[in-house]
Amino acid sequence: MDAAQLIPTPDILQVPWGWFQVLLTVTFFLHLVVMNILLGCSIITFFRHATGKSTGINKAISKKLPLTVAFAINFGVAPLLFLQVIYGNFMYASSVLMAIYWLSIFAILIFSYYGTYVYSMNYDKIADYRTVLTGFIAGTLLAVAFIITNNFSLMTNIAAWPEYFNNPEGTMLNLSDPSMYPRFLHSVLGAIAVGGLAIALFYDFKKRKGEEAAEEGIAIGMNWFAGATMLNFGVGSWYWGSLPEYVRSLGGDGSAFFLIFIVLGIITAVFSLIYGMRHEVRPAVYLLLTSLFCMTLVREFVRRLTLAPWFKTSDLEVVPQYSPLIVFLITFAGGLALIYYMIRLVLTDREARS
Amino acid sequence: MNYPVWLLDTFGGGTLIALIAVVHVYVSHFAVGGGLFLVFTEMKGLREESPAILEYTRKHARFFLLLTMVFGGLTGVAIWFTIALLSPAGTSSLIHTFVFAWAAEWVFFLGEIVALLLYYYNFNKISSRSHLILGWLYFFCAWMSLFIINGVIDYMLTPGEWINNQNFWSGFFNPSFWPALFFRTFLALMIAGLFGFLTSVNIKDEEMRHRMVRYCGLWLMIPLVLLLASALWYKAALPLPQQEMIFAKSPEMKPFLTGFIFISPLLFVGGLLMAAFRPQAVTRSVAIVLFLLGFLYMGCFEFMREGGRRPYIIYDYMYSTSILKADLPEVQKKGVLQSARWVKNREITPENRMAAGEELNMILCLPCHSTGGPLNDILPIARRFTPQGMEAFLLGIGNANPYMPPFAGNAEEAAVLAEYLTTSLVPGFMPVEPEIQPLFVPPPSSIFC
Repeated sequence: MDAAQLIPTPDILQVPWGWFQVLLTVTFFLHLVVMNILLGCSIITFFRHATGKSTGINKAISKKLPLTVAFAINFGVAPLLFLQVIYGNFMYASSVLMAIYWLSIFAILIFSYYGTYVYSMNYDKIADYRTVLTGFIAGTLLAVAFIITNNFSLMTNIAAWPEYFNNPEGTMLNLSDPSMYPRFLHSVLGAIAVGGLAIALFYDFKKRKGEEAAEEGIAIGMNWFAGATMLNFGVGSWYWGSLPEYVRSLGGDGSAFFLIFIVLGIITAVFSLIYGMRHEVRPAVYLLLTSLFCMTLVREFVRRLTLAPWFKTSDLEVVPQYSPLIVFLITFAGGLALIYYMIRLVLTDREARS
Repeated sequence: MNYPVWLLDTFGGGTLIALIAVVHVYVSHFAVGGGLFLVFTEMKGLREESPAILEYTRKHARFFLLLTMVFGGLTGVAIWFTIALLSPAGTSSLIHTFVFAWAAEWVFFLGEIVALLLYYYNFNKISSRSHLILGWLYFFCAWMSLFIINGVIDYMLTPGEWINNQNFWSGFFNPSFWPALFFRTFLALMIAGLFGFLTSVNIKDEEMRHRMVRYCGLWLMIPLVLLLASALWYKAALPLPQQEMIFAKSPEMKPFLTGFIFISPLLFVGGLLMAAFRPQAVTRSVAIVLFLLGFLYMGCFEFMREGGRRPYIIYDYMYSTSILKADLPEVQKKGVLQSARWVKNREITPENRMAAGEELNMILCLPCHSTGGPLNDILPIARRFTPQGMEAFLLGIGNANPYMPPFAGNAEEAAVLAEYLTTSLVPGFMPVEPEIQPLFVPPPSSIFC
């Protein structure tokens, strides 16, 4: 069977695809940062509890985890929406193929989310169960990451789709794809690195306020960051090597940008690591964020090039309707202003009372 | 036609979406009405200078945060995932038509999270005025989410002029938009009262408990009356075909309609009982019963609304089989197996009749029917027919049964699907030709022997 005949016909867009691509890239970057902090910090706290290092750092992380889940989920909604607009015909198909796993994400996340609240609200009462609880939180989040990685690789692995005819119950996974495991591992190590850097940044704020003990927090965070980043250079190379030859050959539209962003992403990651090892937190953060943004773009290029034999976003039909976009942009700006106002309201009020 | 079909068997026929959707809708309406409830209750506490009421508000806010933000937020994502799995074509159409409405809703969702977290974590830490502003802003964001989602949901039931002009605003501000918005707003306020009962019956001080239970009773009963008035408006705003589908033509709607009519006074009486009785054992039990009744009430309404757009998923545009109304004649001419993408048996041969029938069943029947499940089970229906009877039924579908879409296949596919449904899908039912024993006729010679 020619797998290409299974690719569904895409729907019509209201504005050119570039708008959605920009919105997808920006919102995914935001999601990536918060989600990495969540997953990375969960794994780090689990290892710290498991190795008997239940210090104040773990408690400080416990207080922030529920908020991080809330924003990780919220920031995940927008890129998923814009992804469906441009690549929905691929994503809906792959989601049906692995429907049971895909749908289980929400149930697993409910347990993870409540787990973070139990951990946060009862930290002092559950000294004996912290390892188990953080293991549960990290484990469930890793399961979600594994399922999502499967779907986003299956949506571009068209050759695997005909397996549906032997398994229409929605229990397929993309395990035969050689890029699946390195991609997953690359993401997890990236999350640990970002989680470590987030811890270091948190204690950097405390250090600037004059807290003596903050240096230890910075050191711990930076060690996790440096270790995970060094490993990730190896896993990243493995991931690159597992991509199809026609993707690695950097042919096709925009390949010059693809190359530039890969090189820039690696260089900024290297410099971030150097600053990290010197415990210079802020430069390391700026450089890592630049690297993450470059890698977000690289990820988009890899998807475009992988699907290039069958699909080009520029071929998507457009019947223009700009007024909904304008209303959304106004709402977006208004929403940001509202959030700024609310935070300012609380801060000024607290300041006045103190 | 365009996408693979997830073989769900027991959980098909709407069971899965019903399980997730009704739970989510109940909690998400609480997320809207409960926001206003928090603000009003806090204002009441401040006005009456009652630390007990303010403490109740704080505790209720924690319950509200844990339920609406975690469970409500994630079941909302789950609905999105579920509809995309059950009807990818319908979901894709909704996403592409209303992408910027969804995007704006995401902004309000973000505003809700920020406002609620700031509201909850700043009890007694900032001035009452600032705290109330946060509460009001939360309610504004939550209600705006409702405003946007209401537009999209009711577009599916009454797309109005969108059918002709495909204009975003025609679809969004569709004929049932405003009555549905009022209806859902009152429903949200009413549900806030029902959830308020659950927390207020646990207040330790008897006098305070009784005061707050009565207060919650007002939140139940006043919106309920307004809700019933807006329900009449909602009904009147529905075009005749959708009204007939809910109130006359679809037999499956009757229990939900009856449920909705009977539960309305029960909820009102329940509110009065809560106001009248003081013993905690009684109020706790009644609060739970009312909470469950509210859940059923919501379920009845949602089933009716969903049923009203039958046999379409987007009224007058896309059938529940995900076939566009405009494409139907072409599909009927070419045949489903030639038109669908995710099909293995494109040609029907004597060897693959059952396999082809199974594929036709997946594409045409399973979007609405379960196989052995609690909702819309296809097995008892299939058992009632012979292959010939089923074939005739399939070819006449949509006329005699207006809640079902017209059969989208050609005559040969009708025969194959009928054969599959009545001889292969239904276990143990295999109509066979009666075995005829040849009558023994003795040779003429023996007669005369």
